[in-house]
Amino acid sequence: MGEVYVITSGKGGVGKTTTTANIGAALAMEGKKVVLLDADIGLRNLDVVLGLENRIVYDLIDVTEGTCRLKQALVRDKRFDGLYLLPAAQTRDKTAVSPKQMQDLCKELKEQFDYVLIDCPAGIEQGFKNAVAGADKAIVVTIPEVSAVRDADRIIGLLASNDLPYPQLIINRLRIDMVKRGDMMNIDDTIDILGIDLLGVVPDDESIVVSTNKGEPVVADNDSLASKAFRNIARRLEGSMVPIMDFETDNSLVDKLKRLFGIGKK
Amino acid sequence: MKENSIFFKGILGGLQVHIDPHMDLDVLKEKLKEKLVTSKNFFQDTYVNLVFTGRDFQDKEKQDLRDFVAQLINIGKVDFYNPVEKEEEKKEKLVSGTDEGMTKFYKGTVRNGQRIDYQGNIIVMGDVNPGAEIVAAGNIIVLGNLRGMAHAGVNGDMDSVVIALRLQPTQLRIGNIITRSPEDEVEKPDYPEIAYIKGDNLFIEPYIPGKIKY
Repeated sequence: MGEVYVITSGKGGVGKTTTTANIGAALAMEGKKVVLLDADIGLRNLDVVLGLENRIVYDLIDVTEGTCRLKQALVRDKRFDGLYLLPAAQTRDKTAVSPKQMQDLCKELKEQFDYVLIDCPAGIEQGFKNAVAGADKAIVVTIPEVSAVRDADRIIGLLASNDLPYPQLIINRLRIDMVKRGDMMNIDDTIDILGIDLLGVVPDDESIVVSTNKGEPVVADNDSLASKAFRNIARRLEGSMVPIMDFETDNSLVDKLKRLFGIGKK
Repeated sequence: MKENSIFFKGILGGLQVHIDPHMDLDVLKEKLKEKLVTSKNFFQDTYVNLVFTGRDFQDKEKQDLRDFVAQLINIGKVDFYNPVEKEEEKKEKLVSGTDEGMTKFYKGTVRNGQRIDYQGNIIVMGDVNPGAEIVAAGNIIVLGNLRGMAHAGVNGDMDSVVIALRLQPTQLRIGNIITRSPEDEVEKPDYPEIAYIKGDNLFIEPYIPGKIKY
């Protein structure tokens, strides 16, 4: 029996879809059987980020309405074995599915998969209610900006009233240089406000934009910092103790030398 | 409403008799007799073709009715039309043969999330963007860029074709065949192309006027 995670944020554009795609791919790399469920009916993106748009024949609504069997609607990823996508319908809207139907669907999926990751739409309306209905656990994604953190706080409250009291936090798009200058909220400030467990921190990385546009998850690229962060998150979900990457101390050669001679900051 | 349990409608070469589906056969005959007798003079010297519609008749009922009407007036051909059957027939007529029939014109860009669904041919005078769906029982012609999904011959007509000025669909379907564009994109041709089915395969060729072999 697998576990159903909903990945949510309240605010739009903080990276829910990218996070879902990359954690899913990273878990699949660990040898797990993973299904990504796009709950953003009418504004689906997960298929594009994964580069699977042209393989969709049936979607989530076809399954809930009984047009096809669940197995027919699952799109197998072209790179990662064990990774599947259940796409959202694009020509319908959020009212086309009910929370009860989502619960039944999640129940069926977690019998076949180790992980079911639900990509939640932005907002707190019907789409959110559908997405959280079948979830066992929640992951809240935020970026270190006051407005995003405010929305994340609202979402954490709503999750609690939906029987999901202990969500885990991912801080996305942290600009290391800005934090160092004191121009951006740092990790501690964010956790201080939200008061939930930190699952991971993903630094702002140009390679994310590149890979998203190409339709392939960034975890396939071993070198980038963001890729490493996502792989760490996957391992933490698996129960390994992986320390959060330390972004805030500088590790360039010059700084190491400076520290050695005691002239750099700490 | 009782008054209208039977009504007549003039059709080419005869009369259409529309009948209340819940009516008892004997009551029906009585009403029919009433109506026909009052207008007997009208029918006097001609043979009348009759079409009964509005309900499902069993064979025995049909014979019964035929005999009954024959006693009253000179009848020609008597037909029975099941309204449900009629509906299906109509549908069939629309899709059979992609050479002629109903066509929908759409003027403007079809955007992500929009879907044009039509039991006939579809012509789009504009672009079809990724995420948009065009679904037709017959042919699809796009006078612009086709970047979304197009499904021609959705009821199974394998003679349907898809033509676009720029044919770059995310997915292309004709009848029950589903294809997708190649993964590593080769260069995009800047001339009109046509997609059609031959055997079990979907072919895409430059569209050259006059050289029609599909």
